[in-house]
Amino acid sequence: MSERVLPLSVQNVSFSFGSKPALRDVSFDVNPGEVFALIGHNGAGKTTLFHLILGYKFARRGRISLFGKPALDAPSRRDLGYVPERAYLPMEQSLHSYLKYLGDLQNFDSGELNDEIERVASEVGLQAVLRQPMRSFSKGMLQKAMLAQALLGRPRLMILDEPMSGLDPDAREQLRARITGWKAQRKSVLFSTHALEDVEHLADRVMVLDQGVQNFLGPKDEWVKTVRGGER
Amino acid sequence: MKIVNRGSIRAHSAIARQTLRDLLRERLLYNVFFVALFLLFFGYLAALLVYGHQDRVMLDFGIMIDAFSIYFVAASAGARMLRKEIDDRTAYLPLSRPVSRPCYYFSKWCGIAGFLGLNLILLTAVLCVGLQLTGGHPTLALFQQMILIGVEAWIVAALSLWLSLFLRQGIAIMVSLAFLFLSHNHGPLALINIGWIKNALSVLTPDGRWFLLDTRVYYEMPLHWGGLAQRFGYGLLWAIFFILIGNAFFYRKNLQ
Repeated sequence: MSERVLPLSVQNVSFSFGSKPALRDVSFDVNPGEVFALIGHNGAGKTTLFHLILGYKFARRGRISLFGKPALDAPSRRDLGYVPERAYLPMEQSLHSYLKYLGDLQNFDSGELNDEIERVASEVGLQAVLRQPMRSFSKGMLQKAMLAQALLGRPRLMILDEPMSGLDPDAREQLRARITGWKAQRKSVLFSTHALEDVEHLADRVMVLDQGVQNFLGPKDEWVKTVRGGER
Repeated sequence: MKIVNRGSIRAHSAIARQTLRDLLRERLLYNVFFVALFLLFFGYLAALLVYGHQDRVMLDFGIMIDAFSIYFVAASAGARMLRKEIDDRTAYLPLSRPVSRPCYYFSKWCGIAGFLGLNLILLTAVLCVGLQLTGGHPTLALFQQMILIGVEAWIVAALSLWLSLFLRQGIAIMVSLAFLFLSHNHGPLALINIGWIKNALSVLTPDGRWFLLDTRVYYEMPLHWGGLAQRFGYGLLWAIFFILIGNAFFYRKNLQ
């Protein structure tokens, strides 16, 4: 696919929970190879925005496209990897059988799927427990399992919902290195966070959401200046 | 990574198999199955108390017990499978894949339908053993009856799957079973002689009499294959009707 096609484009999107507006006229793009940070307090609308991109919720107004196609078309999600904030996994199942299930949903060649499962498991360091039920996993292992499922099929756009929350310093550093590695591979990353240092380390551009309203959209350096200026 | 056949048959079958696996892990459904086995045994004991035609008592008990347990399993599986995945958000990751919601919904139902089929085969096998023990034997009419009970269970599962999208689990089960009760009472309720009730019943519920062979089973008078196909098709159309309605609801449903 052409480099010029935007991995993600969100245009004038609004959403409300009943009569309570959750997002108002939000617009931004994520470019190929770009790390884009979404910042906001709890309840700012970050997760809701992710849910709209992924088709879990439907925008009242506006347009979202993935790789140039409407986000609601199922095939447009072929190149997407998503890591939710919590481990929404079927705990009774083994990671291997769950990854196989997800790989089947992506219509991967069945001969290659086992190799791909081994690859993602070893990339996150879970190959030794691949056939154990996920209920026996620690919290850190579950987070790695979430990452493994997102990496299946080498997606070109990664969406990470507060990926650093609950991670110990080592794991946080590893994830930062991973995101930097994805950027080097020209993958795009959209992540949400509360932590300023993550934004400073990783992001190319930043969008700030405050109670569903887009308060800032621009390069990281500009945002850092604004924040630092405000702190002084 | 190579992507094969762009069609969604593989995705359909993966979701259906996953649903079947989930159902096989559900304790409630095993409990219902074991209660049915216990009641079948009770039916066998009751048959032993009767002088003559013990096999008919077994048949009567057996069909009734198998039907009730399979309907209950259908209603609870339908009410539980999708609702649970939406509530605990395990539906999120499959739906972040290139899978359409109609494909997901329909495949869920297929998984439930497969599970009901398995359940029915097991219960029928136990009933056949009970019949052998009471001097009877399985007949073609009995197998036809069990097939029709299975089709009716598919309708109940499709209805309860749809209802679970906007009702609590317990209420979805009760409404589905109430629907089943109404569909089996077209005859008696028609005696009320109130036109709109008759019309509403005939439009909103399938006629349960299509799925009961009654005396044909006892007198070993199987349906012609054409007749069976007609009843099977009638049931399947009703199941498809509820799947389509459920799909229309699920298609634009905002997940939590």
